[in-house]
Amino acid sequence: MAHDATHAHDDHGHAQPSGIMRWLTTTNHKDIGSLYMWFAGIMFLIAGTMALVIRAELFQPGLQVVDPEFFNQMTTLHGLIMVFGVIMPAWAGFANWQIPLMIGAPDMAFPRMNNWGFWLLPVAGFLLVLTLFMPGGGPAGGWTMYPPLFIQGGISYDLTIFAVHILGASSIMGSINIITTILNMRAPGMTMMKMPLFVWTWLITAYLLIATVPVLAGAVTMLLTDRNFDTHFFNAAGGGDPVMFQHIFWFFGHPEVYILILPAFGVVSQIIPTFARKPLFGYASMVYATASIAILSFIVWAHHMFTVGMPATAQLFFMYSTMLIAVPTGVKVFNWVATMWKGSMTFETPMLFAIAFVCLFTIGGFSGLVCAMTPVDIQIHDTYYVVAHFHYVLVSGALFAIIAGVYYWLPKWTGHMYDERLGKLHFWLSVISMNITFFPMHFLGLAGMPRRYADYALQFAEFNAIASVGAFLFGFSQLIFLYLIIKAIKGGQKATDQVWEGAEGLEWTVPSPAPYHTFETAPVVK
Amino acid sequence: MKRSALRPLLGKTLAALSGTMISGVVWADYQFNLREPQSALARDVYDLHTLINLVCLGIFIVVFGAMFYSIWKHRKSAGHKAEHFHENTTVEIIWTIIPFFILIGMAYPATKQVLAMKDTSNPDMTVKVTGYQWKWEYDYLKDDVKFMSTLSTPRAQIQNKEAKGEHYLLEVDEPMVVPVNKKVRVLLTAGDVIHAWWVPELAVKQDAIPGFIRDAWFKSETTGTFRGQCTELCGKDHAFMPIVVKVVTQEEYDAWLAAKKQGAAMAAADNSKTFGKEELMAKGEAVYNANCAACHQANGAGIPGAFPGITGSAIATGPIDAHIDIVLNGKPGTAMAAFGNQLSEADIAAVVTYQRNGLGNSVGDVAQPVQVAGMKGGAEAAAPAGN
Amino acid sequence: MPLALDTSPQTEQDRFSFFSRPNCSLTRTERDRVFWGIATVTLLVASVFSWLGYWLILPFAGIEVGVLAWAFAALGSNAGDYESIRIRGDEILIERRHGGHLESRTLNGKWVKLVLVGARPGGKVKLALRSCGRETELGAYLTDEARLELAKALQTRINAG
Ligand code: HEM
Ligand SMILES: [Cu+2]
Ligand SMILES: [Cu+2]
Repeated sequence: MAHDATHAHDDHGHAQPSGIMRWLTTTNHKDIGSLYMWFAGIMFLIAGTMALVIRAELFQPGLQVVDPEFFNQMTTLHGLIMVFGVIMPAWAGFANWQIPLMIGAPDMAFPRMNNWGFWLLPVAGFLLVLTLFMPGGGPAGGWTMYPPLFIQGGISYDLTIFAVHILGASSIMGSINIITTILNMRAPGMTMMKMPLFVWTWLITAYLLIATVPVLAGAVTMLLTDRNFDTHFFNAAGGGDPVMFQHIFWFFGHPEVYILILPAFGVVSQIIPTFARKPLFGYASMVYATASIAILSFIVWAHHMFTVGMPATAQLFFMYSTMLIAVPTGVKVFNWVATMWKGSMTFETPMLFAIAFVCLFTIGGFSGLVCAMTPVDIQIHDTYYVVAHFHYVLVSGALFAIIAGVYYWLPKWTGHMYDERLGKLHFWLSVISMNITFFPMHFLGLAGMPRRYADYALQFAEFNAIASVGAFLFGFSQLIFLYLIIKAIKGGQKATDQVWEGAEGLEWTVPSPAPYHTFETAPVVK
Repeated sequence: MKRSALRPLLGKTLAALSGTMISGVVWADYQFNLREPQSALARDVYDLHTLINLVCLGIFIVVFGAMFYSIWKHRKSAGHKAEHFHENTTVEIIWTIIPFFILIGMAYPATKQVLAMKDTSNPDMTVKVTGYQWKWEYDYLKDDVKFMSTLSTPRAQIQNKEAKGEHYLLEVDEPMVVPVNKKVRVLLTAGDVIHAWWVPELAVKQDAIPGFIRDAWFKSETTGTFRGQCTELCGKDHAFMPIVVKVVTQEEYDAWLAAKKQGAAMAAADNSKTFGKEELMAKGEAVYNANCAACHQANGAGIPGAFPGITGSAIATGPIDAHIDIVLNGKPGTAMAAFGNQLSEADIAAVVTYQRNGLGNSVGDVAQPVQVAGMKGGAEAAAPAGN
Repeated sequence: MPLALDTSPQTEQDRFSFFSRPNCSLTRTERDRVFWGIATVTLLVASVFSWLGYWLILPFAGIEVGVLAWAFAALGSNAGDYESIRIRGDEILIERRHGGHLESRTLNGKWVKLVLVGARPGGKVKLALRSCGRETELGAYLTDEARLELAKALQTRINAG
């Protein structure tokens, strides 16, 4: 029988392209999910290396490793690539793999568009890296691309804008696909309020993308025309308003930070109940909290601009609305803790990362609250305090949730368990080094060290040295993760369908890895 | 008061802790908190920050105390059996409402401070501050005193060729000087890209935006020298344009102002003089190193792809009028600033002469202040009004 | 729950019957409502910015709403699709409707071969019946797992015949 099956395969193998063409033309949600993940992984290594260049320069006061111009290129590209080339694609990878499995759909709603959406990404990633080899080097105006500084640069600035357009197009295709899949392709019985929380958070994330990406695309297009076609949207020299760019950018930018974190809320809400062996506490309030965060995220943008000199009423409005976001965010944290409460917990690697997420993301939330208080923010805006804040929400927030999710679903994806001992080692190294890197940055910011500085005054030397040591430790710890993933793909202990004792949901009822091994026992009947 | 008691204690403990871990590091004057406030407003901000931190700390202890208790008690390895509750409306409402009231409690002092910070009315004096790549200009509006303030840390220290001084990167050639206990209003704008003017001890930070004028104020209660830095990314030397404010007594301030005025009169006289080539070259070199070398480099080679070189450049070796013109008016859309409103005519004449006859060029001609003044006047006359 | 396949005979004559259709969890009115909800917000935001003079956002919003409209229309066009498989005596009846186009085929159970291709990791499982040199793919609206179950169910029925 097995032999016949192979035979049947050979007969029809030619219908499916193989090798590189298979990956270029695939429309399968699992293939595309894997592609997204690999892309994110590769870009993570590139942007991570840039971060290490930054930390190497900042290890001691004075200029040692790079000159300030190149330093600025590193911070700019590090930010752009981490946000658009790592975290967002990684979440898109999870969406592709998991959403159809979790709602019982055969694939995404528009598989062909799914393929295009992915393949735009490597093009944009290539362009961003290419800028470094252009005359004058890469873009050095910050990931926020503020004019008039961003209008000054050379050809690589135009390439950057072009790359952002492509990334935007990719996000739109992905989001439309995800929204239509979730809304229209749920299996019978899978009502909205039965959907796993990860699916909910992605539904809302996709909506945020659809609502804000055109705004980003328009903003960078106007930068482009200001640069090349003599328009004066933002160019003060021609009567434009540079601050308007900031308003438009952050109208996109604040929802964007929630685009990065909402799927993390989803993943953590899947993992904690599994390892607490207890249903998620307050499912409905989780859904409502996510929705309120999303809605509020449209009216807080100018908290990034407390020092541009807005009228007092505007400052107060944005302060109050920003503080308000802390309420639904708090509800989520309380719900996670209540889920653990009186459970029966075990602490496999995904759970460890999820717990670290809850704890450290909350620290980022607290520093967010500190930043929300306008008078305090005026002191710490554009200092290392803000750098500490967003790395707590993005590294120990978004990135830890991505890592937790990979450990959680890897057995389902590959059919093999990862090495739990190495996983724990990876966890402890990451969580410790992450704190060594970013916690001292709070002190640096409070004491007055501005961000995006290639060199600094002597009283900042100690904490910078500590942060740099932590950063290298963190960076190299991630190689363990890479090794673990490759090892699990190659082989290892077979995963059961259920994988985790306490796991619930459709994805755990299908074989691990999804259909691969069934092929060996495939019946061919006459 | 509790602040000053708490801070050194925290500092000492942490220093001791870290000191034992990392030997060989000198724990000089690092600090964990905001800098010591020097004005009433700065003190309010300091206290507000302390308050939020305490509130956050309290919440953190309660929530994560519960979490870690649960992690310890409710683990499977301790034989705990999972219960199956998954909602409780009362609890959920309570933990939505309590944070809400805490936030209102914090919003109240914050609101008062926002309103205070925004109140720039009735200043005792006004100074216009303009950010340029990469220096600050201070213009004492009523007193006709205007000067540039640039980083005075020698490049050799930055390049690690010399030991770094105490105020490494936080020192300037000409600080802003203000009298103590006076409400000083600063008007902020910029000549090229956005910068931000920040003095932490005085809790004042305001973006300097080209084409717009924004204001802020401070009132220092003590004399002393307070140091801040630019906090809006403004290009290559963003880290090298510090702000130094010297707060002095009224008498000292008056004396300083008088001296400044005299200096200004002498500089004005220079603008109508005719200089010899040697004089122009010497002065030009100084002007070049302070204003041009950051981009075009001290040897005139520029940075290929980013900043053009001066040595052998078509403009610096071409007709002198075009050369003076680009220095006066800049090149829009690039980092080349219009120095016409930053440097005196004598300075521009000198730097143009230096660029043409130094840095490997040898055109031979010289520029004179009157010539520059003529072109400046001409440009202004030719430009449409209200530009 | 949704994975369990119902292959019980629908009529007296059938030995086996399986009916499937794409998951269409969004009704027509819901579809319209969602589309207009999203489109309105996007266009409104873009209009406000245009009104302030920053009109280059509007074309991007327009393109996006266009793609969205196409996607939602495409969802509607296959709402009536289905696939039905029945085994009646020796005959296997396959009927399929796709975008308003009806196609049916009757196979002789004695001359039929069930082809199951388990794909490489991440690939898709292919299930088909081969007869007279022609293949008819089955289970277009099913997940891989359901397709495998269907294969098992079909196999036993065909065997039984
Ligand atoms: C309780 C929730 C949060 C609050 C109240 C909050 C508040 C703030 C505020 C006021 C700022 C501006 C600080 C400044 O530039 O002076 C800021 C910056 C930032 N926040 Fe948050 N935040 C929260 C959560 C998050 C989350 C969840 C993310 C992302 C996952 C995030 C990412 C960022 C980033 C990237 C920046 C810096 C952007 C830049 O200037 O480059 N924040 N946050
Ligand atoms: Cu924000
Ligand atoms: Cu700056």
